[in-house]
Amino acid sequence: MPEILGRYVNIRGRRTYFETCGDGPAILAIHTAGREGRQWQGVMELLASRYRVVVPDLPGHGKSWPLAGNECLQDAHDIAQWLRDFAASVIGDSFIVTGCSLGGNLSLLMGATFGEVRGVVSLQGCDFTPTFTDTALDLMTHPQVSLMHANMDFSMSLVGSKSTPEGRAFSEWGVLSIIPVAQQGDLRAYGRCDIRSLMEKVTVPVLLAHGSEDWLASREMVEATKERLVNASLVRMVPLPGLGHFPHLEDPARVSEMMLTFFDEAGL
Amino acid sequence: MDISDGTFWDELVEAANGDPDLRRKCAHARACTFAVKIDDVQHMLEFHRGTLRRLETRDLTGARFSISGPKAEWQKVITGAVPYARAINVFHGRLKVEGDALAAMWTTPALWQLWRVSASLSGSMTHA
Repeated sequence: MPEILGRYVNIRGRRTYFETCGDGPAILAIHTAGREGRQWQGVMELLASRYRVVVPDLPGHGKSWPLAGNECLQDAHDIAQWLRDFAASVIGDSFIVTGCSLGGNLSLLMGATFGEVRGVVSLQGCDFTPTFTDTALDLMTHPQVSLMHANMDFSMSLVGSKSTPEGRAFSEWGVLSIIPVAQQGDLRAYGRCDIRSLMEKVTVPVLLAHGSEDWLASREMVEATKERLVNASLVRMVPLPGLGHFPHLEDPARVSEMMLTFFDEAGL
Repeated sequence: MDISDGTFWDELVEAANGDPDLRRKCAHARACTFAVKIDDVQHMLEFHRGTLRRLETRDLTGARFSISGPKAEWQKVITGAVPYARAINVFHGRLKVEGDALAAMWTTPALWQLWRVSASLSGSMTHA
């Protein structure tokens, strides 16, 4: 079993936790909204023989310290810029970027705007996701709301029927251990994410993968994103039957195999 | 099965009160009334101390919140064809939750369980 190493690095003066695994070309992997990098561990291990996978916990998530004033980032462009700073410090070279849900959107945004990105693997990623109201977002940090209760059914309805039991259990744990201000910031960024006009700027190879049982980031939304990737050197869209909103967590083996096939085709 | 009809809701209430999960999930509720609006037909329900009941009133002024939308969308929720969260999602859904957002949030687990009971009920009625 390849070894996963956890470390801290200072990004903008705040301690940031990240994990790495493997050797080879770098892959930056971004976790989903309100969660943390452990959800990538299965994929990390399976890619380790060919790639060095680097997974940060975003500020205020997992073991990373929050920003000054116990704040978290709340805008997709701000998170992308923070990830760029992180990658410059930890990777220091060009890299492939992958992520899921908000992380999938961020992967596309980084591919459109940062020249050091050499390939994009976007899981459940879209360029337009107006799926949360301000009322719902404001309630997430209301003193009389417990997200671990109120969000459980919602979150688990996003997990696919073919998820591994481990993936399902860790999805549930993600809700039980939620940090409301982190979840709120991420979903504010997700709900307000509209990067449709930037998709024509993506020129690197892009893999869009879609868990077929995800009703939140729907197939139609991913397909609409694909249509706007008119200048990418290669675009592939892969359906993942039976998987939901968290494919990398639900079935790391299937996602890793899909990635390696794409990397071979794209010469990454 | 006509989901607009009071008979259906009476059967659903009876089934819900026989469901231990639902009783547990609304045990904290105190006179939490809410309106179900299916097209132009309305029913008033109340979670109270671990039970659900249907109120025989057309006056909805006492409802803490309401869930409203077209019958076709309600049909999907009640039969379990779509998750409740999708049906009320601002982008994907056609049901609206209005009123006291906190009350709606507090009863979210109970509401999810209620739609599980309704899916089970509608399934058994379909196959009967």
